[in-house]
Amino acid sequence: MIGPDFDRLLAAAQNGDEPAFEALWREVNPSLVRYLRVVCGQAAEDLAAETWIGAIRGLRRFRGDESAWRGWLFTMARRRAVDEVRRRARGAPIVTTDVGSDDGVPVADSADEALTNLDTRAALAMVAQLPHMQAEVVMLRVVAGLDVERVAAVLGRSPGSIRVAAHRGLKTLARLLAEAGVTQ
Amino acid sequence: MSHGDDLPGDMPNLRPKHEQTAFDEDGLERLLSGYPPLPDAPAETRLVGELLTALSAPAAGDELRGSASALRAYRARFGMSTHPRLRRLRPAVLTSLFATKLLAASAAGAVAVGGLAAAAFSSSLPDTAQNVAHHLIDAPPASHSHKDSGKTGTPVGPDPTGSAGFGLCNAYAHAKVHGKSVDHSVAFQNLATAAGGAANIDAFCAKIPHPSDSATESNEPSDGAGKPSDVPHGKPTTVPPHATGRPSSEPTHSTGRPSQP
Repeated sequence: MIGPDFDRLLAAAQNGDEPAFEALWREVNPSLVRYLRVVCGQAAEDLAAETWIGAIRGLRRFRGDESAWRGWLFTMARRRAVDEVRRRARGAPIVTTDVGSDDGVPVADSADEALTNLDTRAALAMVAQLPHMQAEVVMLRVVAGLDVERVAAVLGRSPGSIRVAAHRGLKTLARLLAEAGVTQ
Repeated sequence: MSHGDDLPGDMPNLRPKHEQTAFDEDGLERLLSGYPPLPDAPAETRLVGELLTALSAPAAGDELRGSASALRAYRARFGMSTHPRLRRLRPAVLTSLFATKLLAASAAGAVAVGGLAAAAFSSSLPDTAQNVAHHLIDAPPASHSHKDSGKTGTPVGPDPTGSAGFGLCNAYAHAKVHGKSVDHSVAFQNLATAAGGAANIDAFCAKIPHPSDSATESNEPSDGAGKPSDVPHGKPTTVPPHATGRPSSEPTHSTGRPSQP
């Protein structure tokens, strides 16, 4: 999170200050890409780029704090992910490939990866095994840094359902880790 | 930024260890809010905490490689000479640039200022104004079949030091990009005068502040509180893909997950 500097950076970016905008971008884009990798897999970086184009278009009119800013961006990202999934459903078959791999070569099993080293991509793979709602909620709460109410707004669900999905998601992750033999 | 609802914060887990379940609700909420598990948390909770820490680890290089395209899009939107912005400003530019010319031209038939752009693109302006419109906004050049039927006054052009300055600078940048001569334009002569010479126009324009934005073309969420106005309700139906790759480069950036409560 940017914290106290956010308001200043946002105001500067809204007035054409490129370094300020870049700072905002660098703070959020990695989270956006990770979220999109989990909910959409392929084309995560392209969808993130499209999200930023939309954000730039509406940047001057945005009003809100850092939480609102992130919620706004993730809402746009999610909308694009939904569109992408629908587009795929209408046309080309969905090809599940490596999450973010440049060469697209599947590598063994994500659990094996987790056993070797619980790195970010292996962790993303674990989350991607969750039921979709749980995966989204975990990503929005943990990676996007949104609170329950903000996640509920992004997903159009009640805060109670978000809490339930998040807790179930974490419990499922614990089970997946145990099944993979990951221990401390 | 809030770290969540019902945040356990620094509160220790007061339950005796033998009473703690593997998935203490407070412990899970603590993890979801971005805090590490308490030292005495059950092993399962601590393991999930490790996974969540990995999820929000510092950014890898490939997660930052889209910055160039994002900055290009930003410049295109906020830059001085970009076409999209210029297109949005065209009506204002037209009004500020040509209102005086139009009145002075005393063209046959009344042409409302508000309809000036349409008039320019339909080649219905007097030749003088039409030619300037051609230079500035790619409207058709003046046709000799259109004749001014009235007398032409002496155009004075807009004042670059006033509200017309930003529009003039945009129009100047646009014409410059397209290699179009603007030397004949009274408006640009005024701009050069205000800048202290044609060679100083760029520097002059660099100091012109952006006018307040009243854009209406965006289709993105825009409510005043930053809350999305178009919250999607659809649920993706695909099965999330499995991840198998490794980071392609060393982490370089934090995703902002707090390390301590």
